[in-house]
Amino acid sequence: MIELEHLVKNYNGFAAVNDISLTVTQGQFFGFLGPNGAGKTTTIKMMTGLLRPTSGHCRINGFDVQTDPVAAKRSIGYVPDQPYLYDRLTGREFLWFLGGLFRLDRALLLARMEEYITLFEMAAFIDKPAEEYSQGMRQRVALAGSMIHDPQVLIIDEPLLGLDPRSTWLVKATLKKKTREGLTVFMSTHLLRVVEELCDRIVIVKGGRIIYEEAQNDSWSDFGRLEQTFLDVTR
Amino acid sequence: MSDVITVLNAKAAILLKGITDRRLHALGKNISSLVIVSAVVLGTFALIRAFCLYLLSQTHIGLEPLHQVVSLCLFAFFLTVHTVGLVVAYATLYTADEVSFLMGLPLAQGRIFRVRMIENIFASSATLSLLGLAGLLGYGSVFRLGWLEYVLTMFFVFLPFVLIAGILAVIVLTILILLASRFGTGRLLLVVLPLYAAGTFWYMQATDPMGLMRQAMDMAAGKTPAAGGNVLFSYWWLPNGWVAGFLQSLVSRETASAVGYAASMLVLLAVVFAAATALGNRWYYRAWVAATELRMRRGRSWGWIRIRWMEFGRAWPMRPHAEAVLKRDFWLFFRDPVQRLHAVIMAILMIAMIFSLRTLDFPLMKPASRALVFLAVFVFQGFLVSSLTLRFVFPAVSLEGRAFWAVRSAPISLRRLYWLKFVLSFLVMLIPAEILVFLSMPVLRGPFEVMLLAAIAMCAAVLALVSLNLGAGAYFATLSEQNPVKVASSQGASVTFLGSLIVLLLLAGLLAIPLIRIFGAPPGSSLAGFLWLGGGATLCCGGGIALLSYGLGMRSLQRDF
Repeated sequence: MIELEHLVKNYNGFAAVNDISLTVTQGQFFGFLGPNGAGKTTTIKMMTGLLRPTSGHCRINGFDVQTDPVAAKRSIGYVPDQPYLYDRLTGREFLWFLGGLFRLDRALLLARMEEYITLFEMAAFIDKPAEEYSQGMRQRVALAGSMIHDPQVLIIDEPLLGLDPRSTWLVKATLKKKTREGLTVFMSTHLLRVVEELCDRIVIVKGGRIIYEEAQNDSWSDFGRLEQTFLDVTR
Repeated sequence: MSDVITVLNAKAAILLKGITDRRLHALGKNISSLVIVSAVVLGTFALIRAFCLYLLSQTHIGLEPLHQVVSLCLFAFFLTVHTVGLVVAYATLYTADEVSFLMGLPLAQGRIFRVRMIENIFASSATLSLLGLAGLLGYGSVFRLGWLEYVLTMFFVFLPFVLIAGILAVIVLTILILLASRFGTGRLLLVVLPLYAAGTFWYMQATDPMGLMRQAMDMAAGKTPAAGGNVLFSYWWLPNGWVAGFLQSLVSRETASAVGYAASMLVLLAVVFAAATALGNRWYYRAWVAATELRMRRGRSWGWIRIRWMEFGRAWPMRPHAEAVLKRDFWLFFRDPVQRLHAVIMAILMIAMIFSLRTLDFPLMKPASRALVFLAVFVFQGFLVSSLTLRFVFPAVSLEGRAFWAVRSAPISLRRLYWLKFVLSFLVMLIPAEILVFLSMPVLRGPFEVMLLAAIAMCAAVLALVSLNLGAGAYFATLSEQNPVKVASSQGASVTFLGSLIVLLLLAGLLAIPLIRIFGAPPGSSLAGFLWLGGGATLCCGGGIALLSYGLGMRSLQRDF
């Protein structure tokens, strides 16, 4: 469960995020939309502890990210918009490293690594140094890393960026399956077709504020309806 | 000339932007930089002035030997500027993203080469030049040089001298890259490194600086100076000798001779610059492509590096997150050829220092003189350790890099991460530092307590230097910079290095009185009190600096990512 309470982030007097409050319940697939510079990535960075909010609170499964970061982060999986890896480590070593940070049991980590290497079809490159990876390969390694500790909340910023159609399909299928199993997904994306396909609920932000909110309904199946709504409210 | 103006304009704009930044943390950085740089500049001024006065008034070595000493110091200065320039040039001219961007523009390769070369000289030698100028002022104050003489020395001799060292660094690097692409980096290094070492060794042998110093010490002791060594090579044949010769001519009012030295320097600068321009016009693009290919080849050649017990899959008897961070740091270090190369160079420097100190023969002197020699050795050792910490500890936080998101979003507290980095750096630096002490301090022939005090003081120095470099490294961190050499040669690194020198002098100051008492104590008397006094004071000082640096580092680490 994710709870954002009057979240604000100011940069030298400019409010990148301006009083955002929302709740995402367990098992929900939540779409966080908005034009460029709306404050999506800033909000996500505050949720994962990469940024300190100017004011307000962010709680993950009841733990405040600022006051109890270690407990809050235990249940988070995160994929940033630019999934930089360590160039001089292989993808497999990166997964070992993340598993270590999450204090996973060695046997369990090994099993999960094999599971995700197979699932995201990474066997061909996982033992090569990350400096040789394409954007899509990095994205797949980062996605595998975000799920390796079996998180309860997955926070993903543009997860399908740079993925080829087959990888996109694989990621979407995995996310759908995991959500059915109880995973809460908080996704920021510009791909409205993906939102229509995956999300249970969306909010649209602009200028750091929530300007629109809607739960999935039958009208989403009308081709282009969500796109029109987005264009109308963000004009 | 337009290239120089372009770079100067850009540098002036950056400097102006930095100085006029009114944000609180920027103001803090600027003020702290100003205080530390001023302190070190004043210190250098005072040190060189005192050194010149000592040689002239106490040892009466005369003008020519004094300028031979100046020439030797300038040789070391030239080598330092050249070596730092060589190391930084690889990043500035061959790996920086900016160069890739410039190569895509319709610009002549020679123009890009010249602009980056001048940038490189600014980046690598600004701090050293500042110290050199402070030294020049210290020297000039002894001989009461006028402002015109300072200006002439600076523009006609000193700055050309620094430029020659910097340009030669870029020329040498470009040729090395072209040769490495043909013969392989490993084979080339096997030839070049011994050649550099042999050249330096030969110069030192040929100019016999030890003979010169022995003569000076004999004169100071009122003895007839021993005959000088077999000097095979004139002090005045190289640019360092020309600067010294120019200064000597200036103070002796021999204008024609001074003009000769200045003209030689300017002609050499013109020749070196013309050579660099020709090289850049013809070969820069080829060298840049070769460097890129060498980097890619390096990425594919990891296979040979296998240390099984360090592999991630191997279990260690420690907590998983600590194990993960230590193994990551090890592999990121070990797989970076620049890090490995620099570690080897530093190890060679350490061995050279141990041998140099072990061959010195200090006659039994007054307690104050023995304490002074002890402190000089301690400061030299500390200087080497501070170079090590600057090169390897200062970039530790920056090297978390853009992948820091993985650590920041994981359930590991930043305090724990910082602590892990500190413990690892402290242990890795303490071991060579103590080896340095145990192998080189016996030359002082003091009681056992002296050795113990040296070991405790070095432990305090390592504690302070590692903490300072880690804390300041976090404060000045640039997560977007992947090259540790560039991080370790940034403005923040220069300020930290100057801060390290102040710390060393502070620790040396705390040791002075206990040491004089220990050396002056009659045989058989108890020295424990002085040992506790000196050891305790240095440990308290080191601990205090460590605590302050920890606060700075932790606050910086918690900054927004």
